[in-house]
Amino acid sequence: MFKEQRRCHQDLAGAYTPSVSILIPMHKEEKVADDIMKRFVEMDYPKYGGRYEVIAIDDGSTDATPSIVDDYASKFSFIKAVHRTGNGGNGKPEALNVGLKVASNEIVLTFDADYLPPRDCIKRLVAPFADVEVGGVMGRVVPVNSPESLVTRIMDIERAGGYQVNQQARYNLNLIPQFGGTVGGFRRSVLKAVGEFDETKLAEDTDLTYKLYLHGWKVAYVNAAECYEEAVLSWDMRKKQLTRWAIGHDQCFFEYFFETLRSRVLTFWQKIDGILLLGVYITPFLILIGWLTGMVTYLAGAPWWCSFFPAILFIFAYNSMGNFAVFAETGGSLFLDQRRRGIWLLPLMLLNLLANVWVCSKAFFQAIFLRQRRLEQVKPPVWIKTPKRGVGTDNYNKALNNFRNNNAHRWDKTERSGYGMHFYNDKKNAEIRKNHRKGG
Amino acid sequence: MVTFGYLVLLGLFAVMIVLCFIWGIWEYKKPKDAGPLFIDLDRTTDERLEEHTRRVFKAADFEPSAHVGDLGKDEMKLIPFASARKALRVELSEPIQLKAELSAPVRWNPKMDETVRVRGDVRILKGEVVPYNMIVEGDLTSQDDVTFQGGLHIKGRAIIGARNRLRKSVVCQKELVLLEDVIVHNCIDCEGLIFIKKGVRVGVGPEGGGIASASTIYLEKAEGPLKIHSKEGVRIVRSLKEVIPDDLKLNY
Repeated sequence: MFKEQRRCHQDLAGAYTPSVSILIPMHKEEKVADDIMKRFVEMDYPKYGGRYEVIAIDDGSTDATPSIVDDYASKFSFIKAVHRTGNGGNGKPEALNVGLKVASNEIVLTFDADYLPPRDCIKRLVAPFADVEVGGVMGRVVPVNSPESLVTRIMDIERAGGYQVNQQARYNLNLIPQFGGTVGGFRRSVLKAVGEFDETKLAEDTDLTYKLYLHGWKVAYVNAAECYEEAVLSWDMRKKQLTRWAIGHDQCFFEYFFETLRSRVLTFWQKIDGILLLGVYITPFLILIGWLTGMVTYLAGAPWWCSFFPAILFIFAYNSMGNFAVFAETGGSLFLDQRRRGIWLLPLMLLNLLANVWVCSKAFFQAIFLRQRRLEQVKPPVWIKTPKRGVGTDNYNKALNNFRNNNAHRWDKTERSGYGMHFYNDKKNAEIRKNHRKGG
Repeated sequence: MVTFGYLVLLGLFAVMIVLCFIWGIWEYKKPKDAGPLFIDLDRTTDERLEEHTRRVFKAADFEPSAHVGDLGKDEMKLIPFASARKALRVELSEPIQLKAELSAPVRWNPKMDETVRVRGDVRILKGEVVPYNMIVEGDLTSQDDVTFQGGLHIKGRAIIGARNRLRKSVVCQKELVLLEDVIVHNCIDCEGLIFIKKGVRVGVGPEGGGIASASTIYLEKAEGPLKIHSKEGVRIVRSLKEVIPDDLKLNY
């Protein structure tokens, strides 16, 4: 909180500009496609000699997305438009795998279609790849439409905690910062070596994170590589998004739990952190069990041996610290972002916690079911995606205007009364009168 | 009476519950920080690496303070090396040869032919070609004329011998010494002190690069462009021999 963060090779940002391919998977993204393509056209990165390549993957869109990306591809030589028809529309991991086939550079970055990266984003994200130990990189996600609703505001502060404190602390402590699937990237050779994106997983990013770590690579977290996203607007959309993340994460939990414990390349603390990270969407289910057990015990009366149960100590410790961890993390991040008034919203995050408990508990059982299906080689449902509304640029412009208005008078100066000469003259006259009296 | 007391208690409890949320509701209804956190989408990187096109000139050009002086004969007295020497006093374990290490099953990952991880200290013999990325969990010493076709990540200290060629970048977590005429195609990022002999060139590859250090960079006076950034400053010295700690002096 109060110390300098780990450097993450950001001193080299701008000086080191390796060849990079940027993948943007899109499925019916006509509302946001133009905005993100414009951002990548304006990106501050050397664009000659194939060093910068943007690959827009239209995965079976039936709206105007194909024509938008085609338009950009025809105007700019560094943009490629990949259209999937026929077998298209089978989800983000598959679209990314198709994009990888046509990507020609070693370093690959991925962005979701609703993202708005600043012009320096790519330079910041590629800098850690100067280190051969880094297999993946992750930037910071900031919701652009936070003023829109209660959900977006809660998402905004939750994201702040998740990146500014959670990811950064993991990176500082050499634990397991996570590749989040967007505003991030990886080495192509590494991905090929560990296998392509798993098309049966709903959280291909978590899957890749664990593949990287279990093979001895590291993920660098670059807090300075901030990027706007469009946050979900309603609880219904949030529920869908959370379900997808929770199922995907739980899938990885089943797959990598024992592998993480057995790993010979991870340190002891990385294993602990890895297990906790894998179980992050199972924790709400455990909380639910805790609540139910508590209620039953309260109503039915606890058996006499309960007071001797040693776990009670841990339950108290968890209730004192664990349940409040997310609030403390979010509060800390708002403090670091110098948004102290945002801390007032913290109690309302209880709504989010309740939603998490319900949705993640359901998702836990769905993940078990999906695992069974996966064992039977059946693919999960296709493109379970959050619908985008294309309000990112509007919201950014509002934020920009607010920023300009709030900072219109940067001269943070003491107000002047203009009475300086008046006081000086008074003083001067008083001195003259004094001398006159003395003389007199 | 008892019932009334219960009701009062219940009411107080309800008030306390509501009080928890009232601030959140207030901020939601009358937002003072509705966000978003402002990011200037038009911003570009403030490149920290400064271009020093000539390294032979008055040290005062580099450092406004009196740390180095003007490269006169008393310049060394002003450089605070004592603490650095103390910090560097670490016993080196017996170096081992890279070839021997590679013959053992120490591969980073069998699937990834391009990267090897070596546990222990490494000494690379004169004229050797290393066709891998290397991660050394110990100290690295390379003799003259070694070519590294991949990148280097050294957890310990590193001495890169004269006329070595490094096709990618070097990341070093402790002290790094680059001897005469070393060429690094991309970047050097070092957590510890960096000692650079004359004739060293960095960032000559098409992908660019430069030198960044979380500590001090000591440059032997020489000519040639170099892009450098150091958190604790760059110091020009007449000869590195006088500033390199004894245990980092090359003795192969």
